Amino acid sequence: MAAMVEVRGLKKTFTRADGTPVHAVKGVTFDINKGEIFSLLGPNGAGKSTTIGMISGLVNPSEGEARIGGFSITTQAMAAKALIGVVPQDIALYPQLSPRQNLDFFGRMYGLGGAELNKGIDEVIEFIDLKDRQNDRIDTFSGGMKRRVNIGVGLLHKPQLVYMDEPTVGVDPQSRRRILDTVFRMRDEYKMTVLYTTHLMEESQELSDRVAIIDHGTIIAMGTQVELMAQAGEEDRLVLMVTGNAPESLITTLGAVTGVTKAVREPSEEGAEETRISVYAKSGRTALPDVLRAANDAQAIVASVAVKEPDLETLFLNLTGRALRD
Amino acid sequence: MSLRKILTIAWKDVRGTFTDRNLILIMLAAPLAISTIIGLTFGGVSQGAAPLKDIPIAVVNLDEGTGEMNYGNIVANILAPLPEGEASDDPLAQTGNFNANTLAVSGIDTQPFTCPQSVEVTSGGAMQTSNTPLDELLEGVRVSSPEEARAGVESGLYTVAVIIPATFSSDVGYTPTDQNLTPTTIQVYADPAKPISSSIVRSIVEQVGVRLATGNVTLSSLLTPIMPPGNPNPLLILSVAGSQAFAQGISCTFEGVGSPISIDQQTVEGDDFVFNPLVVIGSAQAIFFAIFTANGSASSTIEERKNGTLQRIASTPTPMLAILTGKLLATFLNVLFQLLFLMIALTAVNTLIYGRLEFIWGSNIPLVTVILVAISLGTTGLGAITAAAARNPEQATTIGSVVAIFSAVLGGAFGFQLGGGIQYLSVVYWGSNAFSKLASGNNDILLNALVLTLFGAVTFGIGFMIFARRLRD
Repeated sequence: MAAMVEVRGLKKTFTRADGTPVHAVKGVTFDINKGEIFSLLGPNGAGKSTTIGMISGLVNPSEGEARIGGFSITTQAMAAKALIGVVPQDIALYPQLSPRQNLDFFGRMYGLGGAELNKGIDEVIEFIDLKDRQNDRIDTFSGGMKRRVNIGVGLLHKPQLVYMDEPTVGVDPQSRRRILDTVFRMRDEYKMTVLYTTHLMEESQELSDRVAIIDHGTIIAMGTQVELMAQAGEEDRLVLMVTGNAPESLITTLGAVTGVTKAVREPSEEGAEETRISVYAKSGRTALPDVLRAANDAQAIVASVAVKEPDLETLFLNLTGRALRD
Repeated sequence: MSLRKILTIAWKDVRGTFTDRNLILIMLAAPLAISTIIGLTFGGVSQGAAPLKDIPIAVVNLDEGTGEMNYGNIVANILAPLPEGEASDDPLAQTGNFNANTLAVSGIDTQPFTCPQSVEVTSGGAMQTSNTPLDELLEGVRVSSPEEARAGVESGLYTVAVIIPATFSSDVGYTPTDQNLTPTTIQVYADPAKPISSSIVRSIVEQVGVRLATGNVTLSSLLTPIMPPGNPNPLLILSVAGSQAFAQGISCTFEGVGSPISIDQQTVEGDDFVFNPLVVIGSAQAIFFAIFTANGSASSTIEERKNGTLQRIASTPTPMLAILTGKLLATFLNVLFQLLFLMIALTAVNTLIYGRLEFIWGSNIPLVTVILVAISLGTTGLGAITAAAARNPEQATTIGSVVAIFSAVLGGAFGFQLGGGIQYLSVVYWGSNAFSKLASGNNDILLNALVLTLFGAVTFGIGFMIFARRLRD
């Protein structure tokens, strides 16, 4: 399949006020195929937005190259940008203008005009389901409605590639569902390629044809869901929340339970009242009674327990020793 | 670079500005209100006391008199009365021995002639009645030569020098033997840094001159029939004039019409200068607020960056050069429209105050347009560079306010102006000075236009580069 996006060794180094360098992105390389939904998954501060900033021409790369539809984002920026629609993480609209006026303005920035622009606006208004409110000021809208307009602006010129930077942050479940459905429609109805960044493992799993997991500015794993699951291993994970600061002896005890391959204390926030322990086993459900009994014998108070099948979070934990939420 | 995109960005910003009620309040209503208040205070409608005291003036009376009368002494005594008991040795001087409020002709009549109680000050074409006694308002000093008086103004010792010409009495004197009135000029040589004081003195001189001329005409026309031809007796004239009945009956004729006396007001630089507070202070106020507008408008780039809309525009196939050009074009247009509105509004205010429709900015519309554009460029550049120097919208507001107030203080937007050349640093000075010149019929504004345009181009360029660098990073 032809690549819509080719990223080669992109790096970005910022300089702090005190002169010390910050390596936000340390050389990422990946391709995104035409018509696929590609997720960039990573915790906050992993380098997702900086990467998107570089491949949309907003941030100058310190090193490396990105090509969009064959056009270099550094030397053929205008041609590359014409292929891109950007949906930023925050609402980037003019609040005093209506959805229609916002769409009209940004449409003109993409070089649209006349009947073509009006037709495009009508289609987008229909697509984001805001026909009744199309002439109301944005600042009178709910958060979910603003998000829909925010997405609509990115789709107006029918881009071949859409960047969506954590579009569901701070959104209620109903609006979130609507956004995720919109992403599928973009791919299925409009044959668009979607680059989607998120720190939510569930979203990434639900949406993506392929996922790249990024941490500390480096891609640590990449592939289809199946490929990544294989990397995550076949073990279930029991997540125990133990009251108080669990002693190291408890971790050792749990690791020695029959059927358990290892037990790991996960990092917790400073001052946390519970300790989070991940216990890996071939069959989580089978091992669960023995694990709870061992914890009880060690006089640990287990506040809650969850059995998790292998997922991207497990993979992230395996690769970094940290939970994705960190 | 797409012109269409530049215009789209500019239009979006201009429309946003002029549909924001709060912005309109700051941009248009506030300067208009302040200028109107200043216009009312200094322009003649207010009944309050004159705002200034002890204006130092130098009076040079070169008038050689007409034998019996020395009208120059009358003017000089009003502006710079001789100390009590220090009557001039010159017998001619006795004929015009006014004090500030009272015409006392000693030894002629026990009934002193009372001048109208107040000094009427013409300013901007209207009368102002000031309750401040003239001797409190002015601190006049007799000076022997015009050169000495001018030097005193230039050194800051005096605010104004009033120079009465040698032929003053013969020009304005209207007697049974000489019934020819000749136009004459009293020169008022002013410090341009003190326009209000200069204007007040000018107005007093003008009024005294007008009263002198019209009163003289009236007296002569009244008394000619009863005087023997060829034998005018000024003492008789003054004794009649000093009677209560005369004062009540004839004082209404002492109105400023048909005066043959004109006032030639010049600044230290030798420029003609006419003070209309709505022009001088109104234009300075308009430019002062235009700096705020320019700063706010240019700062919208930072605001847009904070809100993410700038990045969103930058993610479209629109070059950064076009984006910034559009933003700064909007700033320029916002300022231009604001100034244009205020000029029209101040003209309307002038009409309301003074009751006559008059375009107060002078008759040379092309030059008014040139200076309007130059001021817009200058303030846009200033706004661009101050906004570019800021790291966030709050900082931009603070820096912009400091720059605007600094420019206003230097430029005379608050009714006073700092001298010593420091005023040349202010766009308010250059703009307001140009408008004052044009309003006075002086079209020599090339330097003003050049300075403003050059200032705008340099600051605009630097601001543009800083913005572009910031946005790239």
